[in-house]
Amino acid sequence: MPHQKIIQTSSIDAQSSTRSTSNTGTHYDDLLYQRSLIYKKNEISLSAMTFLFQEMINYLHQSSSTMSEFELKLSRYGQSIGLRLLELLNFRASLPASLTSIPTRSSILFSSSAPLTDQANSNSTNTPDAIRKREEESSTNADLAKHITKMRRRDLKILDILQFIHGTLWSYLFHHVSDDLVKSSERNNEYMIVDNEPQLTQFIPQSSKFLNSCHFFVCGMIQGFLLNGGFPCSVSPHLMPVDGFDERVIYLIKFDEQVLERESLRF
Amino acid sequence: MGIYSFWIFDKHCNCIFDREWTLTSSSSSGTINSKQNEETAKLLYGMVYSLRSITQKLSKGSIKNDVRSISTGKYRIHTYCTATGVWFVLLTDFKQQSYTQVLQHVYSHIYVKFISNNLFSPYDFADNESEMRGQGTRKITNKNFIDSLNAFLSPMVGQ
Amino acid sequence: MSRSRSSTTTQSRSLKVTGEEIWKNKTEKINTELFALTYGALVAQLFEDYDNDYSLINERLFSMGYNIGVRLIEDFLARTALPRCEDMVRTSEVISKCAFKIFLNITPHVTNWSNNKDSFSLIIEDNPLSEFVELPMNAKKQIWYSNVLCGVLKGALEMVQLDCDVWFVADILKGDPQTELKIKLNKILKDEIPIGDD
Repeated sequence: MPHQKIIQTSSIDAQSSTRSTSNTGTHYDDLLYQRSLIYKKNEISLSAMTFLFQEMINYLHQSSSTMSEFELKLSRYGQSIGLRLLELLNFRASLPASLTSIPTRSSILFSSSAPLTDQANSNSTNTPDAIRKREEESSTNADLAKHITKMRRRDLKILDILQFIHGTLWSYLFHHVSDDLVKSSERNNEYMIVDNEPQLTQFIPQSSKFLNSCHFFVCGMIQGFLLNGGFPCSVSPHLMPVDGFDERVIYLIKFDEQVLERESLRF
Repeated sequence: MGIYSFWIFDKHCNCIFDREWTLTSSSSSGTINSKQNEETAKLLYGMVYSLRSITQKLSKGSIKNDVRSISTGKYRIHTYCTATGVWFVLLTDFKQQSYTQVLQHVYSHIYVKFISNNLFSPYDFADNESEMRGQGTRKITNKNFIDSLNAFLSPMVGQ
Repeated sequence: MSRSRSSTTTQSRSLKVTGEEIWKNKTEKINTELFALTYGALVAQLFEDYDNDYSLINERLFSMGYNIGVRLIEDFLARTALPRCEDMVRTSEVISKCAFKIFLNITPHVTNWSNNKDSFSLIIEDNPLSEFVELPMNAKKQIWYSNVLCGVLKGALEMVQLDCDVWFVADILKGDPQTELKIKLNKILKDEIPIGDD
């Protein structure tokens, strides 16, 4: 079910962005696509982020009647971000260091971004403006693409994509790799990503029954990232304090049966 | 004894927190948000408030003429007022000249962390007009706040 | 008097230094893009929840900002230990050189002063909220995408007794040449006095 939801969301997004491309292009719009792809390594204060996060939680809490509804909504926020990051980080990772400053491995996921683009174009109105716009876009993208010398196959194995989350995604989001990546010894479809000091929830009191639920945002990001990579799963947070790390949280990833079946095939 | 008591007043002239180390009627470690202190709080606020009004009148034009401390024969009152109108007040003996840094620390690292930045704590302790202008009764009861304040101030009690 | 003139420029230079120093040494930082994407997800949710009623969405973004502003001001004062400002000129400098710098790492340009110096504009370049954003065409005319910023400023200023109106007059996302936000002082609120003292 959540898988379907994701696909719906992205197609709606694709439509709306198409609609606006048929608008009279401004200088800003022309630059948007190319600019967005290059990582500029800009930073803002963590406070600003936590204030926004808290207000988002406040809004969701008001509009949810049960805790599980709240968790689902918060997780969906995260998903909508995670599924975009898979594309973005993989693309950037394949650009040469002179164009990007994020430390990643060289891999790219063009194959899964292609359907999105097609959908967008087929919904577009064929005004001369829109056509011109598309041509500009493709030439912009081509400019960037020219710099890519090596394209890596996308992650097909569970461990590969989890390593990508543990390393690249975590560094991108929180400036450090995750504190641990563990495989469950009891169930072979379960993996855990550990964060000793979760940053976004730092002002939510530990005593609050709410705290665990607030971690569903990051869970959603992990889930969206994995879903878009072709690894349907569910992700849930578990507070596991240890000495010195009172707020330590474990994100438990449970892959769907089909993922394990595929994993056992030989390529 | 280094410090005797600590008080927070909000912009509605309400005492939203008090911590007393000299009243030992309820426990050996003093009291928190004690009923006994209600009257003292009002008088203390009145005094600080009046002094501030006077200093502002005396120093027309300049805004930096804030009351920092008041001395009596037996103790000293240190005050720190934020631009948002929250007062932090500390009663001490004469051993140490300035407690400004202590009060600033309480504000930036304890009050802001556990009260202002905490979505689950109110940022304004007066719910409606009948709780303004010194008529409010709500107090800070946040456990994290009380614990970290204690951890920070307690070592200064016996100095 | 001539002395106070020169001290105003010194002060404004030192505000810049204060802001930069706090940003550099005393501020934990996070990726701007995570912030932009999170805000984007929130706005997208509002589009859905309010069925594309843009004026309601603008209002909602403003009120969310207000809720943030009334708390954020304490965080700001705790970092800077600044006293209240004596006039709007000083206020504008503090907002641009300290507040925007410390929270969003940008320094909007202050301009378009009214004759009586009670209102001014902030020209915001590289608005971190707008990263990745392209508005749907039917929303373009009416939506103030970054309206949360107006709410934050409104809430924060009110807490230091400045009753202001804050609104966007232009946004690059709508095809305007620049993003411009207006702040106008209505009145300075009086500090409360204890009952029986007046």
